[in-house]
This record gives sequence, C-alpha cells and structure tokens, in this order.
Amino acid sequence: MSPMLVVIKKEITDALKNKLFLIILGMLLLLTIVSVVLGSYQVKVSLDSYNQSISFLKSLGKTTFPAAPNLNPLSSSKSFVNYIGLLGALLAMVLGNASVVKEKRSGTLKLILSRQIFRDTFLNGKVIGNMILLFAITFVTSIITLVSVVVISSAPISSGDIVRMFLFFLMSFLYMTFFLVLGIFLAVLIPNGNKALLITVIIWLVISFILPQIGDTMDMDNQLPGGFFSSMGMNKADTQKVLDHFKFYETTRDGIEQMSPTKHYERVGFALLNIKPGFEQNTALEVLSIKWIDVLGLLAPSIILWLLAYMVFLKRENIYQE
Amino acid sequence: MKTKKTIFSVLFLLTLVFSFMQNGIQVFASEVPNITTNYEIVPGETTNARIALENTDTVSHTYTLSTGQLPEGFNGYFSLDGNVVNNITLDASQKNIIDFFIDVPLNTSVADMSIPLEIIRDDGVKESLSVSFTLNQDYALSISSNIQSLKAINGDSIMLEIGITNTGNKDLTDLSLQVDPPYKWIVENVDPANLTLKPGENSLYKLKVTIPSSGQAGQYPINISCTNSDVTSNSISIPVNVSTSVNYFWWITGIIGVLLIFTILYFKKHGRR
Amino acid sequence: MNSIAVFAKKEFKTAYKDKVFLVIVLLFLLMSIASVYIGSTTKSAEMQAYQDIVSMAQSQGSAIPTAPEIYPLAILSNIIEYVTMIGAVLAIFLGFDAFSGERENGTLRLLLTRPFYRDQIITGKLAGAGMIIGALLSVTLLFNLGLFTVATGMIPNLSEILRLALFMILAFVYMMSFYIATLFVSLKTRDRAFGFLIMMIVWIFISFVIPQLADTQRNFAYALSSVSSTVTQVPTDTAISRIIELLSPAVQFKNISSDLLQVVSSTAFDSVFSIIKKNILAIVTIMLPTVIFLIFSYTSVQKENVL
Repeated sequence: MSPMLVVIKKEITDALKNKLFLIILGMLLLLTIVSVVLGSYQVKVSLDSYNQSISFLKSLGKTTFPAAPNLNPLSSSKSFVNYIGLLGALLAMVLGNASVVKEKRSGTLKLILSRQIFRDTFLNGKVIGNMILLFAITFVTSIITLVSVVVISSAPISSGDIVRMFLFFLMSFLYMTFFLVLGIFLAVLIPNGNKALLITVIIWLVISFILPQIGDTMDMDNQLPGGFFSSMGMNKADTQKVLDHFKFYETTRDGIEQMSPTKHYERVGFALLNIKPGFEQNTALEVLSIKWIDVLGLLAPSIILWLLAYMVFLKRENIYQE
Repeated sequence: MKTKKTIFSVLFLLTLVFSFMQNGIQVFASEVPNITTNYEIVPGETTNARIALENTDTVSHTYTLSTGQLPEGFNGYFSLDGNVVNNITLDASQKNIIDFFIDVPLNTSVADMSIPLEIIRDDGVKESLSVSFTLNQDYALSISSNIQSLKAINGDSIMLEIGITNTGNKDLTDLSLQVDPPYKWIVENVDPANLTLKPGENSLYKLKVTIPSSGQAGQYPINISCTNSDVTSNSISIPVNVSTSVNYFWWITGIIGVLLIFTILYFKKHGRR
Repeated sequence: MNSIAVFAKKEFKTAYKDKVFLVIVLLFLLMSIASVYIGSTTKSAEMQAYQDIVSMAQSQGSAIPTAPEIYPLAILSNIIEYVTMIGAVLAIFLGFDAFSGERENGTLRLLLTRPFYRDQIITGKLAGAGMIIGALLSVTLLFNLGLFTVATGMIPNLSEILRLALFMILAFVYMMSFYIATLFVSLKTRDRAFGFLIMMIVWIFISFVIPQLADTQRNFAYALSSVSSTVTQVPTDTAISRIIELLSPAVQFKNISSDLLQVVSSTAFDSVFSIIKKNILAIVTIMLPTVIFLIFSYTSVQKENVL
C-alpha cells in the first residue's frame, strides 16, 4: 500500500480515538440537530400562520392579500454558519494540532520519518486524512439538515435548493480545512505543541471575532439602533450625499473585513442559503460564480499555508523534538 | 419626496329609496350638499364613498355587504369605524354610515365603470345599487427603461436613462426623479433636476449611480419612480449584477503561483527527503 | 513571607515571562485603545455627518432634525465585546496550566512537600491571577480615560467615573469567574491542552451558542406577528428566551455593562445604585458559578488524586 494511504488510514483511526475530537464532534452534531429542528419548525409555523391569515382575510371579503413571508427552508441552516465558525473551526484546529503533536510526544514521528516516506508525502497524508474526516462530518450534517427540513418544515424544497444546501456544506468544509491546515502549519513551525495550539486559537480569535468586530464598529450605521441615518430622519438621497464624504473610511473598513476567512464564509454561506436577498433567481453555481472572491478567500489561505508547511517541515532538523 | 396619497372623501349619496311594503332597508341620502351618483377616481389612489344605511324594521337585523365583480386590479371593501367589515348589525330604526373604499390601480384602462353593491338582510331581503365611476385622467405619468439588467464591478459608476411620458390630460410641472438605490450607493448628476411635460410629451432622464468599492458581489435593484405634488408614476426596478474586480483573482493567483514556484525551487535546492 | 503572598508573587512573575500571554495582553490593550479611537472617530463622523445634514436642511429650507443623543461613555462601549471575548480567553489562558502545568513539570509534588496548606496554593494562585487581571484592567481604565479625554475633549464627571469604575469591577469579576473555572478544570485534568480546549468550548457555549439559541426563540415570536400583518418591527423577548439567557453569564455581563456605559439610552442618566438594583439577578448569575467553582476547587485540592 502507498505510504500516503497508510498515513491517511492511520490519521482517521487516531482521530476517532481522540477524546477531545469526539466531544467537540458530539456537541457540533447536537447543536446542528437542535438548530436545524428549531429552524425547520419555525418555517413550518410561519407557513401555517400565513395560511391561517389568508383564510381569515378571505372571510372578511378582502381580495388582495399580503405577500407570503420569505419561507426560505434553507434559512433553517443559518445558525449552522455560526456553529461551524466556532465549534467547526475549533474541531479542525484540534485535529490539525493533534495530528503532528501526538506523533512528536509519542516518539512515532522519529520512527515514521526513518521509514521510506518523504516528508511531504507524510504531510500530505496528514492533511488528506483529516480532510476526509472533515468531509464526512459535513456530509453527515448536510444529510441531517436536509431530512429535518423536508420532514419537519413541510415547506416546498426544490432540487435547486438541495444543490444550494450541499454547496453550502462544501463551503463549510473549505472553511474548516483552512483551520486544519493552520493547526498543522503552526504545529510544524513551533516546537512546543501546547504553545502551537494556543497561538492557533489566538489567530482564530483575531480572524473570527476581532477583524469582523472592527469592521462592524467602523460601520457608522451600526452605531445606533435602527441606523444612524434613519434616526436623523434622512432619506436615501440625503444619506448618499453624506456617505460620499466617507469613501476612504469605508475602503479601510472593507479591507479589514476582507482579511477574515470567517467573513468570506459567512458571505458565501448566506448567499447560498438565500439569507442575503438578491440571489433567489440564481442557480447554485451562478451564486458561486458571483461570489468567487469569497470562495477564493477560503481556498487561497489554505493553499498558501500548505505550501509553507511543506517548506518548514522539509527543512526542520529538530522536527521530532518538543 | 414621498408619494402623496390624497384620499378623496367625496360624499356619495344615493337618492335611491328602496320601498318594500312589509319591512325595509333604507339606504338614504344624508343631509349633505353636492350629492352625486357619480364620482371621480384617480389612478393609484383610494376613493371613499359613504353609504347611509337605516333599519326601518321593528326588530334588529344583520346586513351582509358585498360588491359585485370588480375590474382587474381594483379592490373594494367596506369599513365601519376604521375596521374592515362585511356585515353590520342595526337595531330597530337605527341608522349608520358605512364607508366604501375603492383602491384604484396605477395602470388601468378603465375610463368609466359601474360597481354593483349588494346589501342582504339576515332574512334574505336583498337590495342592490350601482355606484358609477369616472376616471380622472388629468394627471397621469408613466416611466420606462430599455435596460433589462446591468452588469458592473465594485467601485464603478453606471449611467442610466429613464424615459418619461405625460399620459394625462394636463401639464405636469416640477417633476423630479425618485431613485431608491441599494445602501451606500451614490446617485449623482440627475439630469434634468426638474421637468415640465405637456400632455402626451416624452422626455428622458439621465443619471449616474456609483457603486461603493466595498460593496459585495450580488444582484441589487435600483427602484425608480417620478413624482410631483399631483401625481406619482409607476415604479420600475433595474437589477444590477455587481461583481468583484477580476484583478483580485490575478493578484491572489499570482501570489500562490510565486509561492508554488518558490516551494519547488526550495525542494530542488535542499533535496526532497 | 506569607505563603499566599509567595504563590501570588510567583504567579505574577511567571505570567509576564510567557510570550504568548504577553501577546494576548498586548492584544487586549491594543483592542481597548483601538475601540476608544474607533468609537470616538465614529462619533466624530456622526457629528460631522449631522453638521452636513443641518447645512443641507438649511439650504433646502426644511426642518432641522434634532441632534443625535451622544452619551460620553458610549464611546467606550466596544470594550464590552473585548472583555467578553479576549478578556475571557486571557483568563482561561492564565488558569489552564495553573495546576496541570505544575503537575507535568513535577513542581506540584515539590510544592506539597513544603510547609504550605493546599488551600493556600489555591488562594495564592487566585491572588496572583487577581493581581494580573486587576493590573491589566486598571491600565486599560487609565488608558481609556486618558484617550477619551484627548479624543473627545470632554472630562468625565463623577457619575461617569463611578459608572466606569463599576464596569471595571464587574469586568474583573467576570474574568475571574473564567479563571476560577479554568483553575478547577486544571485541577481535574491531567493534560493541559485538554483542559484548555474544554474551557474554550465552555466559553464558546456561554458567549455565543446560548445567546444564539435564545435569539431563535425571540425571533420565533416576531415571525408570527409579521405574518398575521400586525406591526411588530422589533423582535421581542419571550419567557423562554429570557430563561435561556440566564444560563449565560456573558449575556448578563453585557446587559449590565450596556446600562453602565450608557449604551441603553433609557438608563443613560440613572444612578449607579438603581442600575445595580435593576440588574441584581444578572450580578447573581455572574457570581454564582464563580462561588461554586471556588468551593469545588478548594475541596478538590484536598484530595489525594490531585497529584
């Protein structure tokens, strides 16, 4: 069997024996089920409530009715975006860090590297093995979500919606892959395994919370409830004249947000799930082609870190010491 | 400027008296001058007619109110004290005034029409009456655009041309374009700022809309209408497909490419192990 | 020297030698400074925007809108998020190897052979962590006050200083509650990394998952209203959402802090005592886990298996 395949198989087996991984995975699945069930139930109640309102209005003799609320069955996955951003990222970081650190601590890294396996092949096996795990996790959660939406919400769901949902879970997989590769890269770069984990967590904090928080803080309209401009009684035309003075501020704010893969994941996720308006008429692939920058924002950092991990792992002489 | 909705409270008084020998529903004129059996409606607005209903019987009755078939786009309903009703209960000899509202669509080809109203008492006694309308076409405005959809990149400006026609019978002055763009988009150089059109006259508005460079890719509608103190036109929506500049793609791919080449060279230099 | 003081001094020195810890401290300081800067810049931008609006209204001859209510302490309000996020992680970082690190290094056995009581070790570590967090928050308070005065040109009055001081005390209690919980986990777990990650999961639940679950219950009520065409523009709390929020000290901390830092306009000029009175249940929600974990820590350290 190819050495890389051996490493992949070992990686999957080790992860399934990792207590922490199983705890986080259990929580993620539980939260997914709870949030999707709650979300689907919400859609069902909205649908029932709307139908009741229509019957009532008909009995009053009205001939025009309010538009149906946006009964978007895909929106039941909205909370999942947040849970992946938190627990999914943590899961991936734990996997990535543990895959290298445990080998160092148990002394098996020395043993493996003394065999006929190139270092880059070894690293590839680690990354691919963990990616297979993450893919399996997102696939299982996508099936759970689809079944909950169809069975509980009773809202009509088309084949286009199903494709959108699976593509959304693919984006979730790409997002978690970034943190996996980050965890592996830092575990390879920093000799002390615990320190590597802590730094990974700090980077995650900065990317997932601090950068988006700065972006939100700098958006003037977020500073007052209901929006600053509407609190001034301004209409759109007047708002625009004022905004014209703050172009540089706005560019800086956007630049900060663009540095966060979490923001990219959120943007492409919300577009696919129809939570962000304006994409209802597009097919799933059209949405991805419109939001290509966000997909690239998820892929590019992973590729860059993977290449850097190659170079560090190749050169380090003390790679098996902690 | 927001669309001004003028509700005509034309008191429409029916002088038709229904005489039923045994018991009566009386729909009568109240003591208000300017009684007419015909009233004006304006496209895009709501007209209010008033019907005075009297129970001339010696016992209490419930009356069901309904309208006949309305032309397409029209909506009619009865209202009592601000609430939509389709029936009313009157004690013996009690009178009440009921409002009849009719919503007129903005685009209608109906010039004259007669709407039948039916009042049915709980014991089946029925009375019908007709209400006549004449469309007031003095002030009417229509806008259009040949643009089905637009494509643009973040940070770009787009030019729009909006056609406008005075479809009414009177001059329209001080017409201004109302543009509702997405959040943080800037509308500039609306030309002309104000317009006057004679009946049947056309003109063209030109405007520039700037998309913020920080905007996200997606489809965004620009909603446009035209208005003055007398009338508001139909609203049109122009979808704009915003995409991110492809330069970003080249930059990012370039960085990855450089790093890949560097990695290969690094492996060649230090040897694969 | 008093045993507790010895432990406290050791904790204090060790923490500031750790580069990663210093990075987090620097991050916290930078973010709180940045938040004052961003907050005051945004408020200045709002005032500038308001002046533009007034000029425009004057040129058009239309009515001038009333000036936005700008409460001075609201400029510092972003620090609430940073305490909830970075402050809590900092406390976790301080505490995660308090015992498990000593155990792995073998210094715990050595300590226990000395004439110290075991509870003195806990108290000493608590005192040390308290000094570190207290020093950090004091520096942040002074920085914020200074920057606030420089950026806005306003000098806070006594009531505002009192509000700010009370906020810092609450932030101290909030961060110490995370430290104490982490200390307990460190006592119980053998693996430092495992203990750290367990506390990170707890932090995620308290700070994000529970508030979001509460939010879904809040939105649920709103959706019903909008569908039946009655006007309910703002999502309303339901009994369920409030009960769920009680499980999260983070939400309670944010609620009290919003009142103290004049984020909520209705309580912007209330006295400090009325704010405390209004939020007494929230204060208890923050204090309760702290006290529980403290008791557990003291009892756990007495057991043989702590070694």
